[in-house]
Amino acid sequence: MSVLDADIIVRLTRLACGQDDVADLTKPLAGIAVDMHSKYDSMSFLMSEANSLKALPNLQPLVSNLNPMSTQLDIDYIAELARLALKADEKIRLTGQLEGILDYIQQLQNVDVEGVEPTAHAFSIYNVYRADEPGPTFTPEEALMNAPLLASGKRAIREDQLVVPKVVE
Amino acid sequence: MEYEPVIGLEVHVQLKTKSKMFARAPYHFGAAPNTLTDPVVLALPGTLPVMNKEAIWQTVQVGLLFGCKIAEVCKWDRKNYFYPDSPKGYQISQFDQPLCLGGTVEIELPGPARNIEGVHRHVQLTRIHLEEDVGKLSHQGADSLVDFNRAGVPLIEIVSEPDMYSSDEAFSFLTAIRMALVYLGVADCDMEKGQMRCDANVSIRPKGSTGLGTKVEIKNLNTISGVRNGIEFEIARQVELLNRGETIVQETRRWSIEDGATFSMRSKEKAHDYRYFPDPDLMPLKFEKTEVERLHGLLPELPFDKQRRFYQAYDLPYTITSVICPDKGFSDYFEAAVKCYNNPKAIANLIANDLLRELSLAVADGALPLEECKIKPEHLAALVECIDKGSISRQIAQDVFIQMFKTGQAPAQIIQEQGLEQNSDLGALEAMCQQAINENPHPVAEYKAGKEKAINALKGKVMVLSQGKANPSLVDEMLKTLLQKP
Amino acid sequence: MSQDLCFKTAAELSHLLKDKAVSAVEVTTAFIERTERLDPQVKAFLNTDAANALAQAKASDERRANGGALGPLDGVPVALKDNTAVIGQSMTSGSKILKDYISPYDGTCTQKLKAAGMVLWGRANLDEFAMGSSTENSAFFPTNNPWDLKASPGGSSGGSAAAVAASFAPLAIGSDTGGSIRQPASFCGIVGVKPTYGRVSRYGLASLASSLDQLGPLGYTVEDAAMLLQVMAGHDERDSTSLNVAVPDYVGALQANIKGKRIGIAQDYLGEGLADNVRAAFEKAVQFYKAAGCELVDISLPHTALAVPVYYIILAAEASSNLARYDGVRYTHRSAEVSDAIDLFAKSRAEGFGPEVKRRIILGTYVLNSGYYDAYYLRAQKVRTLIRRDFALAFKQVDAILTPTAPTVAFKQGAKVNDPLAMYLNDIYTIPTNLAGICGVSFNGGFSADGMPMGLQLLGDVLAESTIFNLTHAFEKAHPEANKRPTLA
Repeated sequence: MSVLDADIIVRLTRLACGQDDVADLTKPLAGIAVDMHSKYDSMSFLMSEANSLKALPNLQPLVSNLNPMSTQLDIDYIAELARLALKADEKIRLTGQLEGILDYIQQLQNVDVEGVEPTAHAFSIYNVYRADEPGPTFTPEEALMNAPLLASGKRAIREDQLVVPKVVE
Repeated sequence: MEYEPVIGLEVHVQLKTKSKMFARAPYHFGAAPNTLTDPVVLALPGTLPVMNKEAIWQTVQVGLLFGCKIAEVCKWDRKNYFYPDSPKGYQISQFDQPLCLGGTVEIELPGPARNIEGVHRHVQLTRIHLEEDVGKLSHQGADSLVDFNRAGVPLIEIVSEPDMYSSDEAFSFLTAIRMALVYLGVADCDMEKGQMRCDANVSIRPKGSTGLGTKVEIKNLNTISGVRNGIEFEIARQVELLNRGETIVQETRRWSIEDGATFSMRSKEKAHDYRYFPDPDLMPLKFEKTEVERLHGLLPELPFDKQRRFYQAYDLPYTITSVICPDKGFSDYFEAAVKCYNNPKAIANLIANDLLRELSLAVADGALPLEECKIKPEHLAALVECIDKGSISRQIAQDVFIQMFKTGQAPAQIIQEQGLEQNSDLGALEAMCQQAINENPHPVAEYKAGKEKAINALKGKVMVLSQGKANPSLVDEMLKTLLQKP
Repeated sequence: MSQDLCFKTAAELSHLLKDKAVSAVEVTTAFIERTERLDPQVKAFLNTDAANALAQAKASDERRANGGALGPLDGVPVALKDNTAVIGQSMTSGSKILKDYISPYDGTCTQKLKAAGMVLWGRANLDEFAMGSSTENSAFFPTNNPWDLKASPGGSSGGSAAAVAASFAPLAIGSDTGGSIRQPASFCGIVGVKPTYGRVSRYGLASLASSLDQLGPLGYTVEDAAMLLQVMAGHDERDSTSLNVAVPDYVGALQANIKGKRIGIAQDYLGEGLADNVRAAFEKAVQFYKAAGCELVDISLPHTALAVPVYYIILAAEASSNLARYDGVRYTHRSAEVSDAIDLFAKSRAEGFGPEVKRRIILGTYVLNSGYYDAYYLRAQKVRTLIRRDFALAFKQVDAILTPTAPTVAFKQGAKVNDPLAMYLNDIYTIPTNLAGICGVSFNGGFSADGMPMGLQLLGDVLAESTIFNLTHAFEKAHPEANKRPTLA
């Protein structure tokens, strides 16, 4: 069972039944702190993820009374967010490798960070401004000199603009 | 059942700084495609953002103007999403620490008639934050073209609470924001140029209830009429749904001007998670109290406050203040003129009627900007003074005004050069004419005998007497009058 | 003569040029010829432009003839990692997605190198987008270690380190996000510096993890690295994270007496996984400093073990966002088979990025996902604070901290490429430096029984580059064999 699935289970269990009821199920996945899921309490989101659990037979009773929608939170969902069209074998390989890495980084969940400020930057410097003075600009030729090459051998440029397949709003 | 709409607006306004928010390239509307970019705007590998100080202080001023609480510390976040007009694959914005929190915007609802003041109320704001604009897409057949000129322009987002209850209120809210930001000089807010854009959250509820119905987000309300019409359409659509016993779906809909209707935006992309996190390329902001106070001291008086003061101090009517006060230029012009000569009503009238008319007549399309008007406020005041003192007639004053508009000359100069001054001038002229008649009996006799040309000899004498300063047509008129006397 | 020039240090070349004993054209020609002859074995460079380098050298000679030399390094060649922006040159970042990209602008570091009159020579290979510790993740080819062509030169600045070690350039620029300058320096037996975060402008460096990335110098000696950092360092208003602090005289500080300096030893860096031969080299250095009159102080960096998980979360998160700009729209590879805009992104990126990049983008996207932000990214940032505090406390007691640079000598190619976690753990001694934002230098501590260099690392407090240069320079003077060069034929 993957860590990704484990996350979903823990979250679902908080929704569908008490923490204790599924202790047995989640035991092999110990180390996943519950607080990591506190941010997600949206019922609809959890419902939408139930579908991905169908494959896990021992969870059937747990998810049977949920009404799953088609969305899945798994490598497909993450790859879509990241806009990476992964091939099937890539997905399998990546999932396996990521599980190992995620397992490894779980050790952070055991660190006491109560009252510790996060470090976003190496140093606390504020108000790094620039004066409002205009600088030089590219000509359209410079701006588009690296425009992607199309199969035709031409660059994806028309009327000094970049061409992309029509964006449907 | 009778329903009441509840509306919240998200208004995006481009700030008119000299350079972009995080890049040094300049921006102006209407430039040729991709002529206003640089490595940072195009998000070339290796480029980094640096904050434009002016844009931040302008946003703080906007917040102060609307009575927002200015954050003591705030940071920049990346809003991650892919779109061809977004060069970095994320937009730098402010997620949970906006620059300005709370505040209100005073609006005036349409009155029962044009010349009657409407009701005023305050609309609650949620927040104002600063972010960067994206590029512009245009569509050609199966393709879209991307122009990055607009990408990176500082953009403030003003978010209201669901605190408006008609499309008129929403429209008034936009008008009030535009008026205030133009007053402040930080934005032009021209919706046609994309400098101000508006999304609305619309829900309806049974009249009298206090809960909120299912909200629908309307996008693309990007014209003046679109705001009113789009919201009107959506309210009607929702009422109709409920009346038919259907339910309203929480969704995002797009206003189409062409169709005059809203359409569901069922986006193909299911994955919508912006994965906000603090931008590690930018340092946070910290505002010193003294600096914020200094900026507070520099704020202009808001238009509605000015209007109330104009009622009090100058006793002007709504029909005048509603024309002068929404425009900082006109109200400053008015007060400068009043300082020179204290007849506020006459001065205001001249501005609200004559000046406005001439400005709009001066150019074929729109109106001449006040800054290009040749009449100085002190000259306008002087003209009113001339009228008040009776040195010229109201009729003549009209002509003088038009000549002032064309030449920028002082009224005194025009009046004197053209001998337009009445009373004293006419007295002197009459004396000179009488003298010419008395001293030249021959042409007088000829004229009286029917030889009309004989009057020219008398005219010449008067011109000599007046040292050439007399107005020939007036002399002609005066001589004829005197010669007709028995 | 020309071979001899390639084996000179930058400092020596600087003197020869100043004395007009050689010309910049002669120097540059020597490096070009050696590179053309031997780089087919080493594969340090992705791109070279000999004509362009010679034109720069000629310009340098003309300046000098007119009495207008721009500084001590005028006319000295330098290789650049191929993730830095130079007008008119490639900036592949080791990725197919930027295969055809030509930079239309100069980064700040590039401008400074040019302003110092240096000859920009050769674009060095790297792991794709600097993600890796072996240079095997380059989309083009792996680089070989000049000491053992079957071994990895380390990474991600493996091309830069190998170019210097193989004497293809006296100096090179690398970038260091978690050890990417120091670990290859260690594997290649040269000196590599990770300056304090903010010391060198990042403008012009393709971002991997913005809060960790730093450009730094590589050279054969500490003096050479110090000379190059002198040119690179300084405030830049185009980088908001750049430190507005004056740059000290690094070279001038090299000769100071190290007696009485306090050097910290952390057992946290000497545990399981450290190879015996590297441990022995470390002990020898400890004895050297003791004998030189330094005070050795036991210190504790208790959160060291957490550095790797913290690093991989922060790096993956920032990288997943930093690499979003490579989207197929403006300047990257674009897939030929796109039907709509979403396809355009997903297919172009899938075709353009290699497996390690995809792995980290997926991990980063996952940890930033709204449900997991607090559990991963925010928590990692908090633990990062604990790691910073460890160092802050330590530097109240000591002037520098001595550690190994990597647990082992250079590993063979292919040894770890299929085990990402094992590869990540190779960076355990270098990663904490980047998390804390402090500076570090890797220098050659000697050779293993089979002749592979073993790097040691001295870490300094924020902006204490002079201190660690001074200490490592003293070691180097006492161990001239550390500056030995590999034999290539």
